Amino acid sequence: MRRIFGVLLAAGILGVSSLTAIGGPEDQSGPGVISPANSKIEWVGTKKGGKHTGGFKEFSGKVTPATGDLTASTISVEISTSSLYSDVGKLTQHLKSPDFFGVDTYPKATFVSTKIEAAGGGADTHKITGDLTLHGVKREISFPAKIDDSASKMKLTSTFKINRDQFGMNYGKGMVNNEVTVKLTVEVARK
Amino acid sequence: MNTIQTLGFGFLLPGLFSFACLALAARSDVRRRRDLLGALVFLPLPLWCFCLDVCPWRPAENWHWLPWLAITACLIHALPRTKWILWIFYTLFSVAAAWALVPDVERLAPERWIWLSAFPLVLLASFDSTIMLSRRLVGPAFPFYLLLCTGAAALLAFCASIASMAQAAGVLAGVVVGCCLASWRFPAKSLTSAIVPGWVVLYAGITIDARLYTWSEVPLVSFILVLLAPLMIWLTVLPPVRKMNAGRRTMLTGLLVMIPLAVGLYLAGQLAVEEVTEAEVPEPLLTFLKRLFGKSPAINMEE
Repeated sequence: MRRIFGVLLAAGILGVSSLTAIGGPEDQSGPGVISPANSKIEWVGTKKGGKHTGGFKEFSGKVTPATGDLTASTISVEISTSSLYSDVGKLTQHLKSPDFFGVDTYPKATFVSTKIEAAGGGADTHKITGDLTLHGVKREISFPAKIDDSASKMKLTSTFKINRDQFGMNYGKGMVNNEVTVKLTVEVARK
Repeated sequence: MNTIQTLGFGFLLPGLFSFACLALAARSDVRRRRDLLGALVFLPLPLWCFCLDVCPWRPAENWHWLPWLAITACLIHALPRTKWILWIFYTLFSVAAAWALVPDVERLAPERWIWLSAFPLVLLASFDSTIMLSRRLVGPAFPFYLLLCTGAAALLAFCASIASMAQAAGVLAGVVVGCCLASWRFPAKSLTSAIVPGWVVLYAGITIDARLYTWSEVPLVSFILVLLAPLMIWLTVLPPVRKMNAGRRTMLTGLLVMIPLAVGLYLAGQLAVEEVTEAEVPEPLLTFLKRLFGKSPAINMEE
């Protein structure tokens, strides 16, 4: 009897755990939620005679408030730097090392917007300004973005450059270019 | 930074400075004075590392303390003191160095205490063993063995995908080459003992921190083999080896030191070559490396 009760109890615990796990992905696409399920953070790095591409597999963020005027909202994202990937396995290991991201010492990179303003003309509809904390260095950056905002969802695409040297990532100067192109694709439910 | 600058700050200047300091030290007949002058070899180490963009002046990562710790170790060695006070200093230094060099990060949390305990023991044993050898083996042979080990540490750090540590090991190799030349020019004086404490800190520090910081799958045994390789130099004091002529003895000991280094690097290199692609290494070199490590390029292409 005790054994049966134990098995039932274990099954119950497992069942609750599974339900919690199932609840995860739903949370990842709720209103205002930014996650790998609906967004991409990618980069292109260049060096003499070549380039590499990659991105981050794990990040989370939100647009607050999820509804209403976007220019009055705040976009915040937290990236797990150890989820970095690239087109070459050996390069991924090198990028995670202290030579570049130093992911052991700096496991998180964050971005918090301070101003979202409409930009006139061109393909980009908005200009986003905010604080990017990368490699333990916090700097204000601004980048243009094309935003399609409707009552049900907001789609943001942006391609811009950051200077890795400004964030204390100065290894390989002259071999690896300082400017890194960042490509963002974010699609967030608005309600 | 171009190749000439990298070679200059990363090897040639440390080598020339090391030779100059040790040539100056060789003029003295007092060992303490020689040790003090020899300790100067490591003084510009933070400058070389800074110029290479390898370490900032103010350490940002644990391993950035290495140049400063090497200077401290040499100064402790050169200061006037009795033997037991010296070992108290070395013990305190080794414990402090371990705390400075072992990173307190989440990924290493389960094994951090093991490294914190092992690191001071490795340093103390290395100080004892290497300083003793440096006094027994006068001439260029001993720094030549140290050079073999340093070169292997640089290659290992490179295989572990931490190029900045490989460059720091390159600076150390430059210092040891300077010592080799000075010891060859002034064979009657024991010059290597002056640089040994700094060498021990950098060698053990680079090898252990390369293991702690790496995200590659280079096996632990590679790091252990490279770390313990200098112990093979003790074979040179065994009677059968000691009786050989200098050239044969140097060659035999060099080969014996190279055995653990070669095995360690072979194991590390196998993985590194598997992960390297044509994008990073020119095709002919990649084909050569894959043949060397028994990986058929044809099979890889099919994959």
